[in-house]
Amino acid sequence: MTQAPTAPDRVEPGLDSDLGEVTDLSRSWVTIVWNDPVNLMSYVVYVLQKLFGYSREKSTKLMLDVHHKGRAAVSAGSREQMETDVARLHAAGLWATLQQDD
Amino acid sequence: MAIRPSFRARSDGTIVVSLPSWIRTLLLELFGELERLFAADAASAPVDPLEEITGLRPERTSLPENPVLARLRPEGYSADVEGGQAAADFRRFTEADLAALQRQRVATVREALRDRDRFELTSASAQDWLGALNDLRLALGTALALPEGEYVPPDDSQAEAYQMYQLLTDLQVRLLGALGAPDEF
Repeated sequence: MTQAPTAPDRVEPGLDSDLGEVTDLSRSWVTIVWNDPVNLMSYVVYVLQKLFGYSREKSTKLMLDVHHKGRAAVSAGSREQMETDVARLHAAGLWATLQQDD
Repeated sequence: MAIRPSFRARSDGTIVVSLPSWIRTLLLELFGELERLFAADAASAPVDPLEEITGLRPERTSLPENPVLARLRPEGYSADVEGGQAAADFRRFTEADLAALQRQRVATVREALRDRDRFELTSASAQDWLGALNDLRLALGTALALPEGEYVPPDDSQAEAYQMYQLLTDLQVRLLGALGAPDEF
């Protein structure tokens, strides 16, 4: 399987340290994937890789966070970008919402 | 004749599907039910006089009452964001596209299943299959309302539905394997 390229304007949650103390309103939204009892773990990993271009390792870690903690932030960015991400996740059958980052 | 289902990837990216006839028949039936659910929902959309003039379909702004449709077309925002307006707007702007995609995927799969037990999928149609199989699995899983990790004993009234659910799990695992995503969890 060919991996999709990582979108350059997408900030991976927890990895935006170079933004420092600057509050960037355009990046203050996150997409949350919620745990559900039906979707297969291997399917969730595949979807995260395919939609976001994440590595298998990163996608697996996010999937396990969803599984064990009930939810995980899978992408961050502007409200419009996150609405697009949520719509794409819904199209793949994942249970996702967007919200302002705390 | 195939004894068990298989999804085999070729080096050019196409996937050869081979299904026992009874599975093909069962899938046609199950996807037919999903197709009817989608069609009934589309037909029950409220009639808006403006629609006749503008040609625009009125959009739904709240979660579908049918639990399967509610799972397949969930809210994009939790109810507390902007007093529910954000969720309503998200649905207004996205649900029609999602519904069209879901119906197109089911139609694609039913077309492939119509008369042959063995056929090829392009990489685009493999994605339609993956999405449609997952929608159908979500639909059955929602109807079964199984808590995570629970199973249904063979003498239960839901045993037959649970067997179909397990069959869909097996098919999805096999398709994911052909797409390079091993089942390792």
